[in-house]
This record gives sequence, C-alpha cells and structure tokens, in this order.
Amino acid sequence: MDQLNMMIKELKNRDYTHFDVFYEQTKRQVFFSIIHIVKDQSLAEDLLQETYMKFLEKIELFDEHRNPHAYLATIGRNLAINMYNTRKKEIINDEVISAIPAEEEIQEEPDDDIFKLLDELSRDEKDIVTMHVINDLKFREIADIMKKPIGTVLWIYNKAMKKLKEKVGESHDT
Amino acid sequence: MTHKELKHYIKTKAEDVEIKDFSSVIIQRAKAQPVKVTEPVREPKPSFFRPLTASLITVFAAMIIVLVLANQTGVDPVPDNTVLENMENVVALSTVQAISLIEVMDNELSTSNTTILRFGPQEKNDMIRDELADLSRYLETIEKLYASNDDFEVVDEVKDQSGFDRRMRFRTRDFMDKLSQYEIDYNQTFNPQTNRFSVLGKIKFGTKTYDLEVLGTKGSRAITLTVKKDELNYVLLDFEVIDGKDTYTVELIKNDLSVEKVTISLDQIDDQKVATLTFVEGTSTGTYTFTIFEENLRKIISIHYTLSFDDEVEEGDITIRILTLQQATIYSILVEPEGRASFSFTRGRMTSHMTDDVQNTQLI
Repeated sequence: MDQLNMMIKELKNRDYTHFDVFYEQTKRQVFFSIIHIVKDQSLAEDLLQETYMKFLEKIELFDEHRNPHAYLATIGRNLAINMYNTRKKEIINDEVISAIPAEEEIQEEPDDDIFKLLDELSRDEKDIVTMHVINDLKFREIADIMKKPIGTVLWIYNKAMKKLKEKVGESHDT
Repeated sequence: MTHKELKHYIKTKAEDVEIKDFSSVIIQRAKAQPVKVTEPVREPKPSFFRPLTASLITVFAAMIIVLVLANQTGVDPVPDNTVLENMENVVALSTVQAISLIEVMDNELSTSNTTILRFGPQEKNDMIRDELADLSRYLETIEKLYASNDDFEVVDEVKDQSGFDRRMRFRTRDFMDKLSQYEIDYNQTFNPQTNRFSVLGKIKFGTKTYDLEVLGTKGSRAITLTVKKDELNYVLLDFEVIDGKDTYTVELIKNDLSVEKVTISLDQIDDQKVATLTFVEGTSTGTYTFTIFEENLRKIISIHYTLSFDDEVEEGDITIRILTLQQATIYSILVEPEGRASFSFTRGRMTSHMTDDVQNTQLI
C-alpha cells in the first residue's frame, strides 16, 4: 500500500513515470468491479480507461488514508452502474431483441468461466463476492461502499458463497 | 469444498481473465487534458425584494399554522379501544426483548464462568467465544419467542387507577416451561387527522418497573418502542415488516451512548419458524440463524453463524442445550466451526426474572 501511495503522490504532481506499475497493480480490481455489471468485455475496457481518467482528473481529492483499491473500484462501479442504467433504458425503448445473445453463443462459454459462475448470483451477492474475494476488500470497506450494515454484507456474502459452493460442486461432479 | 478452497478457486479463475494494458493510452489522454483553472465565483447582486418576499412567506406560513391549530380541540380524543389493537403480540415481544436487554445492563453475564472442554486453534475459538458472549444476551428472547409460540396470552382492559387508563398483561414461557408475567399500565392518545397514536406507561416485571413509550400509526404494522431504566439507559426498538418478514431493530443505549444495534427478523420456512439475528453496530459483527428442534422431549437451539474477523469469515454451527444443575440452569454450547475441530463450553443462563410463585411451582 505504501508503494501505491508513493505513486499517487507522483500522480498528484502530474508525474506519470510509474503509472504503468500503478495500473498493473490495480487494474484487476477495477475491471472486475465493472465487468460483472456491464457484462461486455469491450464496454468494460472502455469504462476501465474512463475510471483511471476520472481518478487522475480528481486526484487532488484523493485522501491518502483511503484504500486506493476501494476508491478506484468505487469509481469503476459507479461508472458501470450509470452505463448499465442508460443501456437498460435504450434497450427497453428500442426493443432491441437482437441484444440478447443466441443460445448457441451462451453454450460456447466454458462451464467454469468466472463470469458464468458469478451470474448465478444476485446483483448484491455478485458485488460483495467480487469486492471481497477478487478485489480483496475488507467487509468494513465493502459495507462503506455499498452503504449497507456490515451484518447485512456478511449475510449476503454467506448466502452467495453457499450458492457458489453448490454450483462449483455440481460442475466438478459432472 | 471448504470456504477457503472456494475463495482460491474464484480468485484463480479471475486471474485467468486477460486484461489489456491501457496504461500508455491513459497517460496520453491525461497529458492531453488541459490543466483546470478555477474561475472566481461572482457573488449575485443582493436583491431588494428578496428579504421582503422571504418575510412575507414566513408571515403567511405562521398564519396558516395558527389557523390550523385553532381548529383543533387542543387535546387529542382518547379512543375507547386500545390503540395497540392487532399489535399486541408485537408489543409483547418487543417488551420481552427490551426488558431482557435492560436487565443485562444491571447484571451482565460474566465471561469468567465459561469452561473450555475441548478446543481447536485457540485464538479463533477465543474470538468465537467472545462473540457468543454478546449473542447470549439475546437467548432469553429467542427462548421466549419459540416456547411461547406466538401466544403471549395478552389481556388488555380498562383501568381507572393510579392515573392510568388501561392495563395490558401478558406472559411468556421459556424452554424450561417457566412463566414470566409482564404488566403494562398506560395512557394512550390518538390523532384522527394524522392517524398517529402514542402510548405512555410503565412496565412492571418482577419487582422492577420501567418507563415505556410506543409511537405508531393506526393501520400500519410498524411501531417505535422505548423502554427506559432511566434517562441515560434505555432500549430503542423499531418494528416493521420488511420483505414480508417481521423485523425488529433493537438499539441498546448505555450511559447515553449507543453500544449495540441488532436486527432480529422472523421468517416461516417449510412450517418452521426461523429467526435471524444480525449485529449491525457495536463490537460484534455476526449473523446468527436460529431454528429449534427437540431431543428427548427437550428443546435444543440450533444456530448457523457467520462471523467476520477483519477480512476472515468464520462460519459454522452451534448447538445449545439447557442443563439443570441443582436449582440452576446453564447453557451447554457446542461450536462446530467449518473446517476445524469442534469445541464446547458452558455459560450461565439468566433465570432471575421469574416471578417467585411461578418459580416455586415450576422449578425442576
């Protein structure tokens, strides 16, 4: 975390020397906070770039005591939610049925694909599992981000992991 | 597959996903962005009419309020029936919860009466035992909730003594089939315009008396109930129906500071009552799901727990049996953490509030 904070100090001075290292260390958390909401690889990649742009634009507002992973994941998540809501409206308005993938396309995905696995979960469950298991955020940080009591976060997490255990068990049995 | 293995599995799968390197594109874009120059915000010119308009609005608003109040009789009419109609069981269960917590403020269960019989990794087990110390405050409520089976035998009647209009009486059973008697003397007010009601009174429980306040809206299944030991020590309880489940949010205030907040929700799954206790604020962070089963005609409390120790989640099952030792009863607690060896210990069980006559006749 110290190394990340050092790099953030540089970025605050518009010094991008170590930005590639910063990006490498944080991209996975940001990407996963976006992809499970928008479910579209290229859209997620666009939003990934936008997240870092937004972060750099407002970098003087970043408080060094905060967890940069949680901060970036929150920006990414908010951008993804905005995009998801906009797209949802467009699809409903235009009745673009073609946006739904064909059955064959779905079947082509491997059974143990991480996105397919997470799709077993509700939106909140997916959020919490992604933030805790993939992004390594603590439950208290997740509770802050999601504006939910920590007990509720734990309850949802527990429910989600039970579902996943069953799902993974099934796919391993077959 | 254990919890740890599943986490590792998800993490590995996530690492398999290839994420493109956009760092150079982002740097280019960031460098191309102009440095923002903040313009000074120009203060709007003060308007001569603005303060005048504000004053006129205030005067008119005050006049309307005076007219509305003048139309009212001053004192809300006292209804003939209880304003707590159809909410008696909710008030009864809320009172049971509040009283059991307020009693703990006086007589906190000591952790020194615990005896470890067998244990796994000591540190984690100690932490679980600490969390269970907080949980034990709620076991009295759980016992009474399940043993009374939603029948608190509530009697509400008119009373013209001691400055109170009404009296509500109800009683509860616990797992040893002992009875506890509660009495609430109260006055009620009801505002037909807003449909809001309030109840102010005193709860008599054993030799102790507590102040009670209940606020609510007639027709809606929601109330706020406060039980006070004194001005600085009290229990605040909100009842509402969330997603079809009766949900109680209970806040414990000690010396004017909120020390704990929990939610207890009640659900019916496959003809079985399921209670879920979640620690929302305070030192504990666990979630406990209770079900009850019988073993040799004795009721056993079965709990599934999820606890958070920093970023580690600890989950498993707890079985609580009540043991009778001479005239005292204790909880025998068996903890079975997921993926680790089980351990057990005992805790004192609160039995001090039973009414004397009932205790004498029912004691096993």
